[in-house]
Amino acid sequence: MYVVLSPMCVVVMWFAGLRGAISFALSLNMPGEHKDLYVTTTLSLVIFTTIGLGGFTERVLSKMGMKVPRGQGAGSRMSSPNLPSEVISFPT
Amino acid sequence: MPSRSEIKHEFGALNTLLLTVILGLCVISAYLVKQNKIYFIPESAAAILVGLIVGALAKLAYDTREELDFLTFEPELFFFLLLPPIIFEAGYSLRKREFFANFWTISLFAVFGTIVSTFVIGYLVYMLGLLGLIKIDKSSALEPLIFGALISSVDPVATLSIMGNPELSCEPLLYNLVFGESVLNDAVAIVLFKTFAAYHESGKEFSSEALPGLMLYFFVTSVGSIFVGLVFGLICSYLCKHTQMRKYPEYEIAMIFLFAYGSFSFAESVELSGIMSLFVCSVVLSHYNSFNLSATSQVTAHYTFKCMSVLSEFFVFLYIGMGFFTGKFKDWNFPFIFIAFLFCVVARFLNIFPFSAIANLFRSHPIPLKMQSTPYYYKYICLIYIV
Repeated sequence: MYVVLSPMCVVVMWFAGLRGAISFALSLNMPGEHKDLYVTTTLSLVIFTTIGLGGFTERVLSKMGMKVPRGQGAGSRMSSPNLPSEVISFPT
Repeated sequence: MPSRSEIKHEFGALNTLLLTVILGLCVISAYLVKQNKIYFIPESAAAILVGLIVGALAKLAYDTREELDFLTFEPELFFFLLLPPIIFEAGYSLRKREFFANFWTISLFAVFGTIVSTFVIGYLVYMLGLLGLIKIDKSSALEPLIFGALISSVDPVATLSIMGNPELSCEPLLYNLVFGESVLNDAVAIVLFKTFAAYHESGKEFSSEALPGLMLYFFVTSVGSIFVGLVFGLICSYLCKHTQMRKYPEYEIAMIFLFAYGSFSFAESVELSGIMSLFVCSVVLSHYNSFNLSATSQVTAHYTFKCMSVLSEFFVFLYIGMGFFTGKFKDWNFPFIFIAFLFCVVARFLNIFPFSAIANLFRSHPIPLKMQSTPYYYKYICLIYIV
């Protein structure tokens, strides 16, 4: 069950630190007079990390050997977790 | 002559139409990206790109006109309208088995790692300010710490949408860790942000002696919010279980919706973290209550909430893209943006590497790495990792 985190896995986790919606929403609520500086910085970081780093995800995954044989990977059971086949119905 | 309110109405109608069209463009581009398996443009990146293009066109068309005003709106809207669906969906669609199997590892990254990252970024930015490289509040480290908290909220939707693709078959443990960390970390970063922001608002002098008190406040707020979320989730589950609600799917889904939003607004109104209790409430609801629902409601709820979350997310990313050109933010400092990016990389390094080493101490049964092909740079990575 408890598989040790491999160094490669850790590197990909390091890479997966994109910034997104929440950072930006928070920055708009920043107190203080220097808000604009922080908002523009957050805005640029979100754009850069999401487009720049996000686009490299696939390459990083394959370079780091983080792909498993087909059918065993993330997403093979998960794309729609509550599919009707998994629905548990109670007698009414 | 049309009256003032008529003009206002017409203006509002046009804006909403424009927004609907742009959101539609986002959905279409996300569909195209997914359908054609374009891995180098995740959906969220596509939404930002649409926003950038629309923003640039709007800027070219009406430079200083007030038409651009519709692109600026109250930040409160983000908090009360756009954020709740995103957080709720993250909790509701959480794969509980995988999440709780790795719970301690995930909390190390999401709770302690986020705190580390906040302080690393905060104090590094503060040092930049002290050196006079950026114009910030030099009197105390509070303002940089607020920034550190908000930028520590990682949100790898782009990464996750690629990793979760069944055809890529990414390592499941990796996916679960990244996903779990991102959902838990948001709540932590928001509470940290509010803790610091409340202190800033109080106008008290900030010094490092205040930190233990702030951290205590942080933990009390977190525990209180978790409690509120639990109570709301359990009441809703109890009601759904012991009534004949499942005969009426529309009321069932409305109940879930109202209880989740209720936990959010209740926690916010008693000065706890609405986001954190909403997250806990949604996990409780999906854990206990989805089994009480009728079969129709289970599927409907899943896709309804997903749809709301996707739309809110697109909206925020779109807004981010448009804001780049049309936002009325004056203070652009590109060297600082670059340095801030480096700080984020360093802070994340100091989060992930030490805490994964700690996590590995507790994750017994070391098994050999199941790599299909070990790349040549593997030993360097191992070296960094051990150091």
